[in-house]
Amino acid sequence: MKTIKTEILARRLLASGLAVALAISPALAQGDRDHDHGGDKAVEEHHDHRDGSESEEEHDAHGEDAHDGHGHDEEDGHDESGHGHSHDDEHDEHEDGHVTLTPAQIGNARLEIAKAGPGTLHPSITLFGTVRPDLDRLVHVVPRFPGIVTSVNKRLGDRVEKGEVMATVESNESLRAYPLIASIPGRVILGNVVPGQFAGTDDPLMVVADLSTVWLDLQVHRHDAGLIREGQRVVFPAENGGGEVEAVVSYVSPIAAQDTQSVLARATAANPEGHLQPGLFVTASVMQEPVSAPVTVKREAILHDGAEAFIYVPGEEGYFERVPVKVGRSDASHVEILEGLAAGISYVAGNAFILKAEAGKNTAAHSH
Amino acid sequence: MIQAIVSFCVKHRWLVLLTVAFVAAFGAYNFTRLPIDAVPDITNVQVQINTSAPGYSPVEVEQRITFPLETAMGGLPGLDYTRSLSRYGLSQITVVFVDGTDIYRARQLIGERIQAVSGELPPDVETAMGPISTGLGEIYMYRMAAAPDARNAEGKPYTLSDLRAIHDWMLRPQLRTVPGVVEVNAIGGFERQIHVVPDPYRLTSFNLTFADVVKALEDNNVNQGAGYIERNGEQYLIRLPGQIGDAAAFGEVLLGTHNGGPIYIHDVAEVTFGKELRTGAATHDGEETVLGTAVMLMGENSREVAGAVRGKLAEVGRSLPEGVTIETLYDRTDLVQKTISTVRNNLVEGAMLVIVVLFVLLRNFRAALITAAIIPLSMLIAVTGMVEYRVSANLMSLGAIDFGLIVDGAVIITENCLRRLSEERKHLGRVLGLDERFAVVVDATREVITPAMFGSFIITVVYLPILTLTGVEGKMFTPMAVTVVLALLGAMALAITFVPAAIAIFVRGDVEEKESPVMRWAEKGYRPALRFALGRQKTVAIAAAALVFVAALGATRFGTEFIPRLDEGDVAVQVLRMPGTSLTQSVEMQKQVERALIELPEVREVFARTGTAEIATDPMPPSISDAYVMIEPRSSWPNPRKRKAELLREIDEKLAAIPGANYEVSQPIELRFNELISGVRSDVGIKIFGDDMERLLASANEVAAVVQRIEGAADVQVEQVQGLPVLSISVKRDVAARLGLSVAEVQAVVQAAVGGARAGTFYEGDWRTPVLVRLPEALRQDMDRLRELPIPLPPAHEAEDRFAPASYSPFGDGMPRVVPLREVAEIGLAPGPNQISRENGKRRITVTANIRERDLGSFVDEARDTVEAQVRLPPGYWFEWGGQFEQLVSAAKRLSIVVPAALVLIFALLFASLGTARDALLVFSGVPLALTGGIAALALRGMPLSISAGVGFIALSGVAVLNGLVIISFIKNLRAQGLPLDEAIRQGAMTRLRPVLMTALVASLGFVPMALATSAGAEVQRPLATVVIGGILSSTILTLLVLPAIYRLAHARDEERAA
Repeated sequence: MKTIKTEILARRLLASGLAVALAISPALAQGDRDHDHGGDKAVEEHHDHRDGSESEEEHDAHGEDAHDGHGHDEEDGHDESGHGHSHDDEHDEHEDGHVTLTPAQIGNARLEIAKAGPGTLHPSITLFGTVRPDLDRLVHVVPRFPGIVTSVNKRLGDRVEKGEVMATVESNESLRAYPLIASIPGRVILGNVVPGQFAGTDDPLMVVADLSTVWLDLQVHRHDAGLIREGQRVVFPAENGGGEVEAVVSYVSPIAAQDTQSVLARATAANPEGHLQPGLFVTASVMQEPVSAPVTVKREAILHDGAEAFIYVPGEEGYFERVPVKVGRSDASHVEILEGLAAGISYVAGNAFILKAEAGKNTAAHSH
Repeated sequence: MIQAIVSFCVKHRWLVLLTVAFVAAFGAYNFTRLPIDAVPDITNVQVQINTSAPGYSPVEVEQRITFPLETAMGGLPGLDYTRSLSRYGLSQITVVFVDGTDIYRARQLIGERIQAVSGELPPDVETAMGPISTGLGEIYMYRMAAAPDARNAEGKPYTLSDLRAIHDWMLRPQLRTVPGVVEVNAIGGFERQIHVVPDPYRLTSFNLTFADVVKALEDNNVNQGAGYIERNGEQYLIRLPGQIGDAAAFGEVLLGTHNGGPIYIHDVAEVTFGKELRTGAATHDGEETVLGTAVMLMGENSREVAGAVRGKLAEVGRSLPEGVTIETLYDRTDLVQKTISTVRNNLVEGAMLVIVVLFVLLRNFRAALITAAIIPLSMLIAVTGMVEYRVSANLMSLGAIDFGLIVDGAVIITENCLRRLSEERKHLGRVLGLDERFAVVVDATREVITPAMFGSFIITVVYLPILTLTGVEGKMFTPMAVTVVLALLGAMALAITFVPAAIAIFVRGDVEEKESPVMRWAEKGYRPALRFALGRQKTVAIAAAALVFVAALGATRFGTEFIPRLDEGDVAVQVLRMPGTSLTQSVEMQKQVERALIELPEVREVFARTGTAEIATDPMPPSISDAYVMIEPRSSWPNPRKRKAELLREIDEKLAAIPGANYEVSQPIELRFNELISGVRSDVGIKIFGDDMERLLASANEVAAVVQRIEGAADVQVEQVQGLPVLSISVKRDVAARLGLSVAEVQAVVQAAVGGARAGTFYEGDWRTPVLVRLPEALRQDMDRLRELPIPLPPAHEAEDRFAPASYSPFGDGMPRVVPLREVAEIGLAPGPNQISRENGKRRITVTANIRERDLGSFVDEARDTVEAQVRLPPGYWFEWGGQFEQLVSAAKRLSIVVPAALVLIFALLFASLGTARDALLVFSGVPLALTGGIAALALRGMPLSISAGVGFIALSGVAVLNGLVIISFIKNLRAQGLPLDEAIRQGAMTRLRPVLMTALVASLGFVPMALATSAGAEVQRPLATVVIGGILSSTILTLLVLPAIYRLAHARDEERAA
């Protein structure tokens, strides 16, 4: 009888010690791995105690160690780990969010267990943009002298080669006809001209653009402004079934648009097939520098209780420990764990919600 | 007077028979009108006011809907109390009236009150009263099924949305016309909607907003009328059709112009058929399905209505598209059939038994038949009475009628008539003439009628305490008491009219008493036993007293069970998951539950409702499922002899292996009752009323901590009000204002993005399809995308040109004017209130506790003192104490007055009948003596003391008193005729041996099948039958042996005095 009581006490001390360790760790130096391992060791000891095979003295000793080691007393531990609903002196495991499942339950829970480990994250930023012609490869065809257009050789959409005659204008001053020559190869993207028309020197008669490369103008809102840099890779789906298109950020505007509070990032994309038609809206991902993180877990593993993030760590005999974590950067599939979990520790990667549900099921009620 | 009646009946015997035939026919007619259901209806008089407020969080629901509505309900006539629940998107107020209030009047008054406050409610909410139904209302459930190769109009396999649409627009309108059906409720699948999904970037690059889209859709989908014109004597109506007749045509609606070009909806948006953002889902055997429930109007006959629904479904089923079928899942008729067959078995078995016993003991088949006829006749009279008093027939009211007991009066009269007739025959030595026979019958009837009548009266009296029960217990047991009393009164009336008349007619000719071998054997055994008992009066009396003492001691050690659980055959499992569990997750978990349960060979099918159905008769959050486990008929079980408890244990085992939820196993009707009555179901409930949720929760936790420490407290729980995960998006007013956005504009975009904005209805014949403007699925599927939700800025003003921007825009004209949501709003995760409960217009939180190994009264007193001393409530906060203990205390209080009163009344009746207090006491002593056997029988079978067993004890007291009364009055008569005491006792006892044995055998043998029963209603019958069988055995022995002995003891002085 006495042994059991002592064991419960020791377990409780350890549990609270562990909670303190995890809760105060943000305050300690980051990357203090030893500390993390200390936490892990506490987890294991905790499990040993559950086996109940050790003697009374040992339990006491462990209890004291854990207790003193973290320099907090029991009350603090409770405060740190209490979740507000405890109406009961006893902190049973469900109230801490820890769960023990029977073998049959584990069979039905369809949990996926993975090991936390170092990994490389490929974060990206999703931005909205439009396709525009590459202004470096676009020429205006403007009459040198005002006059009457006598012939038009190229129509809207026609391909032109460099040096080709696009139209002929008879100058009003010299009354001599002179040709308008394409200075680059490309396609006529503007050509509002008919023979006999008067052509002034203010507006271009035609515009020739080389669309083999286009610009992708991306709108970067304030939150992301600091993260977009020249040279970053941009990936976006081409419309009309052209597959994925890659580009590189070539320019980030030093000034911002006032109305939308955003800056411009421009990527230049190759457009050999012509799928990227200027004017189209595009949603693009700007790939950030890969981050190698010492501890990463799958995105689905992260659960939330209010604003607090946590994951489940499997122990022995169906025991699952709820471990609060601090989440860092993330990409589409993984997140970095800043605190709370060391590399090499197994965690519940899939269907972890079942554990949260099991822990919280006693709060379920159907009252009217 | 009684003699006059008997003489009259014998004289006009044919008239009596005719009258009885007429009464029986009337009873048979009434039987067709009798509402039959499996269990008594224990629902209180209540009206639910449901308000659906899509998108409102619990706090907003409470503040803007529940509060004004609930306050308006104050002071309604007959109001008992109101309670309310504010949950995400739903407000439910339950207005409970005192029993006996006219529901239609109550609803009318509530309707008026709702009307009065409707102006205060937000315009976009719908308030409606729940269907006029009770806990027994859900009589028929079915699902829509499609064959795997069936194809819909578009040539694709049927989807859940298709099936739901077929249900809603083809099946439901027809089903609602079935008389007695008040509502047809659908859950599962998705309501079909037309979704107009604008691309926010395109929209804003055309300088358009969501509101423009909604307005354009609303303005271009209306038919108008414009009066008429007359021409050449004819009148032409003017019609301005403008409704869109084809879903694709929504894309053609003109939205506006841009640079002179028209912009149509399809330029900025996609138009598709989509799924609603649903609040509930249905599953069947591990797959999603569409589930329909027919709800019966209050007071209707479930047998008829369920039958009519079945007929209608078969009819509608024929006109459904090919491959689409309706599968019945639950049909109340099955249960009603079981009830009827149980009652029929009782009748038939009772009648057979009476015939056999009477024939064996009387050796007169006609007399046996006459007596047995009392059973159906009194039953029919009872039915007429039940229809008159609006008592429904069910397992409780009919299943437990003890027909052996009811015929006792008739048995005694028949026996005496037969005995006297054969005595006269022997005395005269010839066959009796008609008048002689009549005279004998009248005299023989008169001889025993007083004790027989008093006996029946006494049985009636002992049922009176049951009539005083109120609340759930009252609703459960009053029908039973009423029915028994009606049957008893009917039998009594028949015993003094029909029995003598029928004997006079049918028992003629040579009535020579043929000594039955059974009787001969019994008399041979009884004679020495009686001599033995009379020889040792004091020992016998002391032994009897000791027996009673032991039994009384034993009775205190029984477990008690206040309300028996009537076996409905099927099983219901309420699956309770953590608040905040999503519907999709719940459905997945529910499928797993169903797949596990269906593995049991006894389970026919499993289906479930998760979340709230379209009509929120039961506002379940998406985290809760009500699963119905349909059980195969016993005959197709692998082991038909398996106990139900065993099956329930297996179900429990299956459930325990599926993590993530709590499971409460009950039964379909029981579950519904629980949901409707839904008071505090624990022993003690401490309600704390106040304003601030945080304060209430803190106080509740304090109270729980205090109660926890009190001895005997168990399962102390604080009502869970927190824990709903909330993503709160609060607009940064300053940022928004500088961008030219109002808070409402941002809110509207988010609303449209997640929930969708209603933009009219698409009509296709009777089919109505809501049109919603919603953002692309990709933008609303996860939290991170929601942060990026583009909020269109207001259209740029022309005037802006005049004020040069402070900086040059790096963009040309081509960039849409949008900002992501996170620019203008703080987005945070926080747990919010899950639900807000109110009672009588005030917020409340409940702390519940059960009590173990301590009596309720002292626990409550101590808890109350301690809590009130130790927990300080802020001003304006108060406690209220309630729970099961209230009912137990009030029932106990009432019974403590009524039971002694009934006993006094019995004694008075005995006194009136016997004329001396001493004899009355002697007969009265039979009651505790009879109870000993009942207690012993219960103990032998390990059954708890229940109300059922209590009814058995009541019946027993009746039998004991009846037999005692008959013996004592006989002995008195003999003594009055001048016989000496001993001789009178001996002769009287010997003469009454046959009727006493007869009544005892009829009552006890008749109960043997019931005591072993496993059919519907067995849980009510078994304890009752057990008590009666055990009690009758002891009572018979005591009546035959102890009573003569103590009578001799009590009257020894008289003899001395006389000597």
